Amino acid sequence: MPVNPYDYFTHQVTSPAWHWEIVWYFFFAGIAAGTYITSTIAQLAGSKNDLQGVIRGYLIGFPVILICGILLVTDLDSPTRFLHMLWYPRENIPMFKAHSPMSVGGWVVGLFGAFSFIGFLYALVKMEKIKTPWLVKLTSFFHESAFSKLFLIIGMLCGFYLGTYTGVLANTSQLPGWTASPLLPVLFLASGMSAGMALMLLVTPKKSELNEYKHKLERADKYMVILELVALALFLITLGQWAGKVTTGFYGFLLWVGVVLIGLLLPLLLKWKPNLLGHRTTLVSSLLILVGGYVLRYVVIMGPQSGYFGF
Amino acid sequence: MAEQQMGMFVDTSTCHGCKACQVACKEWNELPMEDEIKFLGTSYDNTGHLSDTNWRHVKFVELFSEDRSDARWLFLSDSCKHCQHAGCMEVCPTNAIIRTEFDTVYIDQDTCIGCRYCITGCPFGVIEISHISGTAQKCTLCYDRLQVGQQPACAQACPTDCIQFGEVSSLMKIAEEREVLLKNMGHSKAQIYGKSDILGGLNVFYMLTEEPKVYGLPENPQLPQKNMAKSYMFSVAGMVAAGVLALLAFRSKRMSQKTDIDQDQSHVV
Repeated sequence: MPVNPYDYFTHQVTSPAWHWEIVWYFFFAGIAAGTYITSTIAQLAGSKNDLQGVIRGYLIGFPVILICGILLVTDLDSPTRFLHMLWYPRENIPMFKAHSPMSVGGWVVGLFGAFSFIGFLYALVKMEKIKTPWLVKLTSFFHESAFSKLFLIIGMLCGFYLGTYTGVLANTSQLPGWTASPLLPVLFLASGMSAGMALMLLVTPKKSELNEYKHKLERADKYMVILELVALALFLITLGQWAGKVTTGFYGFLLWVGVVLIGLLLPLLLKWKPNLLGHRTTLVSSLLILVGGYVLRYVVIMGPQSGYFGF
Repeated sequence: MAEQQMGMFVDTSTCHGCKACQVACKEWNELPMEDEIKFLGTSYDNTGHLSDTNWRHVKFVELFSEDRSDARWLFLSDSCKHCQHAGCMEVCPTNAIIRTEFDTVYIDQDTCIGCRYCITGCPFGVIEISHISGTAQKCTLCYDRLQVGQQPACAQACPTDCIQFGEVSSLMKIAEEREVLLKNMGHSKAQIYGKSDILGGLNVFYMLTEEPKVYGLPENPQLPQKNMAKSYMFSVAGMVAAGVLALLAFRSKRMSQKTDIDQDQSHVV
């Protein structure tokens, strides 16, 4: 029998119509994870001189994860019920499903919020903005005592989960452009790390004692941009026949210009030639990385949704 | 395990596209009209697809030959399949999607938060969020009617009995007999869609006279979780790569700075 000339519902998939809140959430979650992971690694492995810079990283994570929480709640179609994500009202028991990345993610956002809040307080104590004795003792216990290494490592793992699970979330769906490549979590993590580091560079003041730290941060950011470039290339290859959803048309333009050129290649050039724009090089490259990080998420979330019902 | 495994057998070979089932569904469940009645421009069907206000939809599959001298219409009364392995239920983060005593898949409207994740989990494009309730909506298999011993509204309204309601095992026997009959009548592609090979079995299953893809049904639908292990594995690899790179950047200088001044870092300005 002949084929259907109308290409009648050849793929019966409905788009969840995830919009701007989710794109911003994915972007901010990456930044929150990136700044916290970088700060903990720098505190655990860096020199004592790095601490001044590290605490500025801790200042970012908590406010950003708060914004994430607000975005997550406002994105719901029944936002007043957001607690159902953590509590099952029918049986009055905690709500946790290990096989639902969104359920695990909900808990990790909360847990990460706790870690980043303590980091935030620690930073304020170190900056002498908080002098309450018990808070000073508490934050020192979590960040400077013998127990601190374990605390920081667990917090870092929470950050890693936060930075990758948004990719797992998209992978465990039926939308072909989201499921075709398992490299999505790696791409989101590398992008989040580089955006987080870029933001840390922006808030690190120009002081001679921080030059060494800034230099390390610049180098770490350069590594992350390279990792992101590699992850993006592999992501596009593994997308196979669905690559067109993000590499052509409007989304393709955003990907090649907004992500590859503006968000990756130009910042990489500026990191290799730090004198190219004089003292503005760090500012410009960091801003470009942040723009690229947002556009990447916009393309990856919106592109594969286009062309399906409900969008 | 549910007390009874109730479901539907939809025999598309006897459906004549009257949409009585669609109307009955709308009436019984008090589902509102769409904003306006419009022509799709691609089909005589003006509904388009399943949605929050159309829990049942009669698909018009219009087939034409190259020179358009030969035409054939297929109809498929579509709804939620109430899968044994339901993707929507698997991903739902709030347990709002549950299995009833009739083994059907039901959305608890008081628990749903409208996160839309179930939409991405369904391989059949069944679920949509209602702008009125802010919750996920789909066919309940008329759960309220089942509770009082009635059959779903669509099955009761069907004038050709192409929608049959009952115990799934009994319906499957009817379907298998029907498949043999159709093949004997020359419908060589007649097949049951929804045996145990499809997501562990569909409680609402179909008799098709063409390949599933002709009706827009996925050939081999999978649970969304099929990618999860691989995705987590790559996540771990990514974490190691990113962690090692960051560590390298922060550690390298430290080695050469073992004699670094231990200046007082008790507070930072």
